[in-house]
Amino acid sequence: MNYLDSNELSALSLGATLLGSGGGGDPTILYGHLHYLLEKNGPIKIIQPEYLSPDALLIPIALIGAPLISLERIPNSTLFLALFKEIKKQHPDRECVLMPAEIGGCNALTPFMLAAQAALPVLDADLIGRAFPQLNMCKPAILGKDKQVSYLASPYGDCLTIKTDSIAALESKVRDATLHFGSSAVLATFLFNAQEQDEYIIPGSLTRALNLGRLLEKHAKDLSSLSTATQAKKIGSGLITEVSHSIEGGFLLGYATIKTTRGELQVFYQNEYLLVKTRDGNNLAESPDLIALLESHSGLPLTSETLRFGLKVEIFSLAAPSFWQEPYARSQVDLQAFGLTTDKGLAYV
Amino acid sequence: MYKLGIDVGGTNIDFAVVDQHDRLLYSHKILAQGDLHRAIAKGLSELKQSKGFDLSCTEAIHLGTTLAINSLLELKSLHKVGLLRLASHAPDFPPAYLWPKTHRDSILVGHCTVAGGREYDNRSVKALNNLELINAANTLIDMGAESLAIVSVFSPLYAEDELSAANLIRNQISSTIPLSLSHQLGGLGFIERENSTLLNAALKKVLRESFKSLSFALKENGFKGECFITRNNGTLFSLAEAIEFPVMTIASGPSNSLIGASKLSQLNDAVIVDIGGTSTDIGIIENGFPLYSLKGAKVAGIPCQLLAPDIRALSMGGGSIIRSNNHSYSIGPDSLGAELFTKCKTTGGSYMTLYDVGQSLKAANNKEAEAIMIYFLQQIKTELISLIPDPDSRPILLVGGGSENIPDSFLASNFLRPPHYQIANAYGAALSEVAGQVDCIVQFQEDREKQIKLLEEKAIALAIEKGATAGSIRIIEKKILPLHYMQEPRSRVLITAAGRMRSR
Repeated sequence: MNYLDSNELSALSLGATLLGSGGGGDPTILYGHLHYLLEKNGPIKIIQPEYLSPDALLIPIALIGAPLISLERIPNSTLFLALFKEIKKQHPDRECVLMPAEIGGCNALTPFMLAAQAALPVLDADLIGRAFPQLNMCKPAILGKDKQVSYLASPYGDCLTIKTDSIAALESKVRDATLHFGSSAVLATFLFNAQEQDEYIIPGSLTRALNLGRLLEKHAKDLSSLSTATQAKKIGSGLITEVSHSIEGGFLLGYATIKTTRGELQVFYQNEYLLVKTRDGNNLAESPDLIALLESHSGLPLTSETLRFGLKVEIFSLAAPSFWQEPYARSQVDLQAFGLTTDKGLAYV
Repeated sequence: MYKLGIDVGGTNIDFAVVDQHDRLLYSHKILAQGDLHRAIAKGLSELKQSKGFDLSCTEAIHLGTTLAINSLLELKSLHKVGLLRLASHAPDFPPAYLWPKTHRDSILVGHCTVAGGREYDNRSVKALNNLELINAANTLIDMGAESLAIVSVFSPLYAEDELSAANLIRNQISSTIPLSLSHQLGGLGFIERENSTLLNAALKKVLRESFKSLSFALKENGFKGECFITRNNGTLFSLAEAIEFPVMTIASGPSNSLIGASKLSQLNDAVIVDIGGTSTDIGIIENGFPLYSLKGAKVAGIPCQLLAPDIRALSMGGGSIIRSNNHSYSIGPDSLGAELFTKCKTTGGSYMTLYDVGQSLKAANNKEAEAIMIYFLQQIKTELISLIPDPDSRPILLVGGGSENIPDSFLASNFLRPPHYQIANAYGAALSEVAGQVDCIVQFQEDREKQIKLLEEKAIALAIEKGATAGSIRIIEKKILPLHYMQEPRSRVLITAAGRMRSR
């Protein structure tokens, strides 16, 4: 993958939704606008990590806040240009390369919104390899990159520079400022130099999303062949018979019950799908594995907020990037980290 | 007193007369030829001659019409539209960008973005500026706009800016130019609401023109009651409302046929296959009501959040032209439409249609006709499987004029033909209900349930005020859109109650 052009945008969006594991927001938020920018300004260059110039400054970016707000107060060019102007002021002579902070969901497209307007390249990598709901669930946070200078911009052209000494402070300052900006903003954080890339990036994320999206387009009408094509594991298929969720602490928290041929399954989520288990307590897939619910007749991946009674779905799981298989990383994002252990989170089922 | 349901389709116009207990008294079917009002007048006079039906004893006509959807599909009789975006953050994503180019070019003349709109918490970053707004509206009119669409950020929660803009234009520019305000046409989601508003603005021409001649034709035939138009959600609009919100009538056909088929068969849970002259629509009735689509309906390929039944449509019907090539067949998408009985093989014409296939199967065993019929039913089966997991174990109701072409021997035992299946759609139109709607911002106190209950009662009272029978009213739509992150939790509450029209 050397360039992104408008023809590949729908495959990238589909693959990113799949990697979102139910969260990360719907790429529809940016799809139309990015398609327009790609048509107008041409394809965007994509750089593989091994070809980065050692002096380059890497800028991971993401939309942050409530997806519903971005769907109504739609992003404009100022949002992205104001962010870059402020970064440029701090790093006037650096060669800048953008990258998605999060490949899962809408944010796979976010760096391209700026890249298309500032003629910048985008790195084929991200900080997570999927979607997770909190900033402490990024690779650099897990590896102890506590001190940051982050940037947060609004669509009215304001940009804040946020200096923090801990991930907890970063999370809280960014959330507060986002609220102040109308609950939707663009964030650049965990900026790093190209030589440090091993401690920051999950390589190949854009390529993975694009390949998954292409396979999904190809197999949408025959999902049975998807497993072999993607190494996804099919868990089951059936009708959603119950959806129960509430909004707590800014997250969509809940579960869906699915009646399948192998009995009743339950899918638990906090924005992202975190666990699939059987009635008798067997965990069939769990975080950090990716869990995908595809609508049976269209083959489209469903985000957690669109689940509803009566939908027919196919459930798949995919392996998370190898970084999350390491015990120290896994413990930050496993069921216990999300409070979904048998003695607590599941007690209400 | 009677009610008359009329369904205007691509091939036929169907009539269904019901009494005050919704019993079907008469029905009639004519070809949809020429102007709408002339065709309807012709059907009415045939009904009078053949059945002695007297239009002066009819208190209401419920008309389900494809006028709006057809004018969109064919790009005929549409207004040129100018778009005003009230958005202080000046979004630079162009409007109608993902539309089919032909639709964008024939509908949108231009757009202007001016200060206005709100944040999620009702803050205004830049207030509406009267002079800027008037200049923008004049610019659009100079560009050729015949109708204006006004879309303000967060207007589904805070409509004030759209209302002020409309007032200004009415007072200072023109009291007659058609205006479409987005908060009346959709919920949160700026682009999709903008799409609905643009389509609505474009469609204001065709209904206004047709309904004027229709009212006249009805009066000439002695009609003294009120004429209503059926909506996407199975309720009724007055003619004036339909002219104001035409986009809300475009999916009413499928809604009517689902409800009609369910009531004719007295089944509250079923799959309905409605075969017309040009197309076949497949949908689901659950607990007596149509199942709505997951992501809001698309119209002519344009996503616009409309509440409409989830319908699988096949471009195949009784009048569809059949072509064969080496024992493989294609049916449609082109149809002989109202010319079916002058151009099809059975009557000496040169085109083979599903009607001809049905005729030859009735006459004798015919291998080719059998193969075509099996192919047609296979297409329906494929759609059924994509819609429901177990199509063999549920009742499937076969309705519509085109379904007469399928001999019983080709159908599995779970296929049923309800009585009067030919005019299920017109019967459904006759049964359409009157609705009352409440749409407001609520600050929930401790007794949230009680507050919602009070709003439901208000919606029910509005429905009664509009003519619904008290005992028949139920809540058909309840949306609570919470405004998160706010210090005092507030929500937009939208409740629709609907019930049967009472007899006067």
